[in-house]
Amino acid sequence: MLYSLIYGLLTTIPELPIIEQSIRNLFYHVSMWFTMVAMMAGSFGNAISYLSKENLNRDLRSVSLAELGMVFASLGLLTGMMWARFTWGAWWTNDPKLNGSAITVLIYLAYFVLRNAMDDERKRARISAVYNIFAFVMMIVFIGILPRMTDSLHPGNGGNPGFNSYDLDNRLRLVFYPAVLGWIFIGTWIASLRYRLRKLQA
Amino acid sequence: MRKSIASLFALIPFGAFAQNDNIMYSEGKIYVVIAVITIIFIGLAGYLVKLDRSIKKLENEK
Repeated sequence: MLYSLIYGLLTTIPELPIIEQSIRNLFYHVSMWFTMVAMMAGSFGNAISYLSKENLNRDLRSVSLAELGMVFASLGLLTGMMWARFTWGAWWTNDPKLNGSAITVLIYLAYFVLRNAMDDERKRARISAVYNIFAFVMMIVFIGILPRMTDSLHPGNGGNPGFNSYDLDNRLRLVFYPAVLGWIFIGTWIASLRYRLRKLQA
Repeated sequence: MRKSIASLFALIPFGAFAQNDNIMYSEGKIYVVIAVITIIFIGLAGYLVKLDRSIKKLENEK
């Protein structure tokens, strides 16, 4: 399985961009966020599974995925700031999506603080699984729902329906979706490395 | 502050001095893309180095 993940990683790279200019960031910046949502969804799934089966490995998987999600979220924020500086003219704007994602990052930071505050394994696993469910729902609200209800600089928000409003033509899609899949593979792969390390440490 | 960070990124591809935002806006803003890729690479590499360190720590304990 590990090999298939690595092959998934290798095949996506040659498919990356040969199109226009700054829109190429679609493949990098946007796929960071897609991957982050995928990581958090995996973390959420494992948290639920821990609560029903009480298997500590599920808890370890859940943290590792959330950690990778945080890595992708910070990369998404930093690349977004870079892109925003030269498109919108400022590193940070009061765009609902920007503030929503910043709040999401803070919510997940609190998740790690909460985990580190507890010593008892079972208790830590249960409480952080419950918090994880809360954090995931808040993430959906803050980056998935609220920005769509107000005006935003991001495409697909404030009335315009999702993806078609970009110039996301078929050539872009052809690169974008494999890129997202590839990043999700890389993310789950590194998360599984992190999980194995955690298991050895436990 | 803004200018200094921007010019730092502008300096990477050219090695020239005192070129502020202009390079970032030139050539259809392609340097923005380069900066974004650089950030992602540095971020992931940094995370992997961190992972490497904790693996090493575990190896030394044995």
